[in-house]
Amino acid sequence: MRFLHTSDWQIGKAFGFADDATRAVLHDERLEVIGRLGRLAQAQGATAVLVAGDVYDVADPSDRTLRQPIERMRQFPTLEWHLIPGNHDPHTPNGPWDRLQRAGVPPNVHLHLAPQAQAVGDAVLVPVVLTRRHALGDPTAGMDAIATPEGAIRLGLAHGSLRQFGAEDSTTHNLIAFDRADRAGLAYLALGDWHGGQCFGSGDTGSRSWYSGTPEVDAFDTGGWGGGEALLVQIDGPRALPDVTRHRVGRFKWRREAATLHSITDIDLLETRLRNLQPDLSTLLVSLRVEGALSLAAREAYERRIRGDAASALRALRLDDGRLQPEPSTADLEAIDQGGFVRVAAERLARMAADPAELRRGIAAQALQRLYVLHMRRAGETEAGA
Amino acid sequence: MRIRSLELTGFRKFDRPVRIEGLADGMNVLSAPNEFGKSTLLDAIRGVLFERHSSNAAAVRSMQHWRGKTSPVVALGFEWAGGLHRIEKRFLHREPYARLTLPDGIRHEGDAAEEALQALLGFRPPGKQGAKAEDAGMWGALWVAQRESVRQPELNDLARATIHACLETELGTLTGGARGQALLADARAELGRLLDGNGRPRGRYKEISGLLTQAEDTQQALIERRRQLDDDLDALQRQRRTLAAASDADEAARLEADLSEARRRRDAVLRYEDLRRQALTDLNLAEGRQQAAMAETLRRQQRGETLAQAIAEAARLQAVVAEAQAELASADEALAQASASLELAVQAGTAAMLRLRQARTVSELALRAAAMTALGDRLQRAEAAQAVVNELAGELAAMRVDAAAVQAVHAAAREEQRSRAVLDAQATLIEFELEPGATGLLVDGEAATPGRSARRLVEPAEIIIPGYGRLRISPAIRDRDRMQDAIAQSVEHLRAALAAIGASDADDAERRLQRRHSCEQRLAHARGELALQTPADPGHGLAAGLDPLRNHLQASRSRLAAELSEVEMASVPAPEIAEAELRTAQASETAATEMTQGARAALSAPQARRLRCFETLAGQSASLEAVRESVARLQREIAEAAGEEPDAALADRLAQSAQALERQRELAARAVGEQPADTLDAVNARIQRYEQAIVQQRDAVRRLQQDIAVLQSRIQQQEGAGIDEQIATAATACDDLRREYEGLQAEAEVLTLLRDTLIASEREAKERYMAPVAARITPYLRGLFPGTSVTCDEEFRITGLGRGGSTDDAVDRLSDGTQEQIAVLSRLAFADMLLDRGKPAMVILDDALAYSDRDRLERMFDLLTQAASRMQILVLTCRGELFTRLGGHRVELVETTPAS
Repeated sequence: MRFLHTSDWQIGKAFGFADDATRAVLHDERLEVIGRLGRLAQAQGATAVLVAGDVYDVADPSDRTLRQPIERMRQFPTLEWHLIPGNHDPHTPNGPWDRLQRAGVPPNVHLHLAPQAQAVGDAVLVPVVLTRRHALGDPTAGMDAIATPEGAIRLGLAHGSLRQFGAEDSTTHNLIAFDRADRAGLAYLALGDWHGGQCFGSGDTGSRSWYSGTPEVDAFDTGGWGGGEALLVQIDGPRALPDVTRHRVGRFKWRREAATLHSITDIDLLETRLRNLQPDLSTLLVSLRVEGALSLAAREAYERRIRGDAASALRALRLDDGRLQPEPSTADLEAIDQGGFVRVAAERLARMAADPAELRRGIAAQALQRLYVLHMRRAGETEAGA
Repeated sequence: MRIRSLELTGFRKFDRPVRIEGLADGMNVLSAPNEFGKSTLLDAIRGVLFERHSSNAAAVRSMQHWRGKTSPVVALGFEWAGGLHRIEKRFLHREPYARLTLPDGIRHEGDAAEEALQALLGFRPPGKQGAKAEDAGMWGALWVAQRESVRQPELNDLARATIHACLETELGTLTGGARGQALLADARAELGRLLDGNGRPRGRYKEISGLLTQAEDTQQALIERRRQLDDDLDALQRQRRTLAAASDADEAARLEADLSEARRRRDAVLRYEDLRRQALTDLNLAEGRQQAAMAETLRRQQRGETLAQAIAEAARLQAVVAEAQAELASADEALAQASASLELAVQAGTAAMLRLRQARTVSELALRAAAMTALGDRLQRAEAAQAVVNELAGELAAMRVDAAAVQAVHAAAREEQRSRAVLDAQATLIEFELEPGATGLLVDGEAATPGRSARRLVEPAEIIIPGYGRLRISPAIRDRDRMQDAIAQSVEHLRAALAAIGASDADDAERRLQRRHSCEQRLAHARGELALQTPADPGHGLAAGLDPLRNHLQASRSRLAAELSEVEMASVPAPEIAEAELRTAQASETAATEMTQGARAALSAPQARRLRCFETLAGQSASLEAVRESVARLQREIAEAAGEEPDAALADRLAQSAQALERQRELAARAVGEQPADTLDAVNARIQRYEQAIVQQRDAVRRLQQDIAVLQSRIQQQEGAGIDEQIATAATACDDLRREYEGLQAEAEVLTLLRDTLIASEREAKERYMAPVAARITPYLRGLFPGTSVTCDEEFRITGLGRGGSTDDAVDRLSDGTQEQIAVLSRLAFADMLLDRGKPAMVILDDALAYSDRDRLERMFDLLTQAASRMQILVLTCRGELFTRLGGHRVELVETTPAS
């Protein structure tokens, strides 16, 4: 038995932090990855794709969003796609699955909406169906009792968090028993919910419980292997250990970065670092946290080169520079004016910005920066004029 | 600077050379009347310093004497930086010149002199149009021409620069003004894109604010829709569960079974009620029947008894009737005897009454006969009177005279006499007096009598005097004919009146009237006699008059004769006899009447007895008849009843109905005893309850089905909308907008702070900058207005005075006099400032302080004198007397001898 394990497509996810253009691209890529999954499966000789929940990001997607992944799957008629609801898209009355059922799906797409075993190739699929976002207790508890023909390869398909040994916290939702694969006699438990892939189990029982992770990363912190992959699984018998291979299918990479800036040199270093994160910066999203203190001139350079240039090179740059303090130097102030009331004003703003007790500290820093920029612009015009 | 000397030649009105004498340090006063040329001196000083010697500008040409094209020459000696300088210029000459002699004796000529002078005093070279005020720099402010003193000096760039230079040495360089303004303008411009003049958002900022609110509303609405959808989904689940419970078939079947049972029980109750009611009805019927039989039996019994009684009563009544008939017969006999007695008495009474009546008639006739005799006497007397009346009446009828006629005769006689008298009065009187014996004289044929006579002539008369002839007299009487006609008419009237009564003349008429009166008296007497004898006697139906009396007597005699024949008497007896007979007849009649009354009284007792008997008989007979009728009726009824139902049959019926009643009583008792446990009300209530429960269940199911359908359709409507997705989108949009809004907000705050800080800094800088100026002016102003503080603007103009507190008086609201005083003092302050910076200044005031009152003027003089201790001041005034109080040096303008 050879199949592809994937999950957490999260179709329809909105990326609030990004601008409209990026948002549209990220949104589209979540659909595009279905094609890559299909092609991977075909290339690897898999006949089925198990999607372990959270196909949709919301419980009530629009009709278009609802149909889009289905239509993508339709394009691979030789592949059998097996879908279960997840906590994002639980099977509720009149929910997305009801709607899909009513509207009809292609024959190669199988919606598992009841805890009933179903043959998949030479194996038998034992699905878990979430009927609400937060199910108390272990959603896979019923798997043990689902009967399958003697000697069948039992493939578990479920969505939820795997419960650690000893963590009998029944108040947590959708927690799956750590040894569910063994208890339910599963050759393989295909799990969804975690966006970074992982596998559990070792020793005699071996690794039978796997999270595939999301095929297209959708956040800066995914855990596990980081996501952007699908698992190709080969199982040779009912109790044979699965042979699992990770395949990269995601397009975008998401990274967190941090930097401390105190001088122009620091800015140079940061820019270089960002530019060298990977060859194709257009498929990289960076969340950058910056702190430190910059002179007005350096701040101006920072704005220009990091917030401006580097950010444009990347697919998206999410900047957190709230703790980047202004530190106007004497030279800054001299540059603004030697004397006169403008200098007085600049010094006053600098004092405000430096005063921890000042409520409008940040505003004052920005005002000072703005004064600097206005001044530089004037100076530039004067120079250009001269 | 201190001016030491000034010489003019050919300058304006001074065609001959003049020079100033008496100029010294401190205060100098040149007092001269109008048109003296004081202002010309100031123009000359300005001209020699600021105009180029080679200039041909209008200002320069105006220096020429008005009479001829002079070439003005001005020479000014002044002390500057500790040394005496002299500048002399000749204008508008073929060979104009400028000569500057420095204290060290070095002399510059021409343009070199001009440039050296400019450098020395710090003014700008004039243009082609001549020196402008701005070229003169600070001097323009310090040298005040006529009418300029009322305003504060408007500082030109040069002057401002000079003051700035002064201030900078004091405060250090204050740069950045222009650039600062530019930056402030930039900050304002950038802020202006965000906020309007009132600090409210505009443009994108305003738009984004609206969009954000809108987006938030949209998001909220979506969330609300999602919540509604969730609620609907929950409700749908709930309704479905409820529906499942409500549609429970077992419960429905149980209810139906219970209902059937309840209905069965109700039927039982109803059936019992029917039976009970039927039994009671039958019992009533049997009782009725039994009572009917008993009543009939009783009725027959009573009828029999009544019949027996009636027969007995009839027998009794029969006896009573017989007795009454016997009594009646006895009564009749007694009555017949009494009636016979009465008959006899009545007959006797009738005979007595007839005799009485006869006697009365006779008596009456006797009386009447006597009366008729008297009446006959009266008739005779009356007839005699009647005869007299007839005779007199005939006589009277023959008389035509009466009082009126006699009156008419008298009147006519008087008229005749009057008319004659009238004519006589007119008549011609002819009087005759004839000799006795004279005869023959005929007057109108009539012989005149001897003696005296007279005739009154009215007609022509002819007097024949025999022998002599005839004498004809024709009286001429006017209206004679008419008067004669009147006489004739009156004579005729008299004649007619007399003829009417047949009298011959008036006396005769009078006599005839006397006779008539006598006749009338006698007639009245006879008529009185007649009336006395024939009065009316209404008691006998007799009218007054002779004929009625006669007729009455005639009739009475006839009646008496008839009545006599009626009583069969030939004659009337004497009244006395008749009276006796009457009394006898009356006595016998009275006796007969008494006897009749006794017989009649004896009749009443038997009559009453008979009546009583008769009544008794009638009553008893009627009773007997009635009893006999009831006997007959009863007998008939008995016969009829027996015909319908013989007594034996009735007895049978009575016995049977009693038995049937007894039986029915037992049945009814049994029926009442079989009452079921349920009451009808209770069992009906139960049925109603079950029915309602079933209906409610059905309704609930139907309602639930409807609700579910509604919910389902509502949910399905929302399905395709993708609310979650929309919420996510809306949240993203909101975040975007909020980020932008907050960015703009921060931007606005930043720019506002920047702008405010720049403005505040600038204001402080200005205030600092102005402080020295204010400090110089303040002491002067306090000399004028004690306790005053001063505010200056950037142009170094005094804009406000704080007097006696914090209130600022705007200078432009002060009086002209005060404004001028302030203007003069501000110049002194500038001069002081220059002096302090080592730039010796002097002040020239041309006809200043014209608007000051005496008190102010005194104080201004004090202040000017104070200033004059530090600088040279030249005051040009036309008010010599007033300005003598200023003191200082008297300056005079004197003509220069050409030799010197």
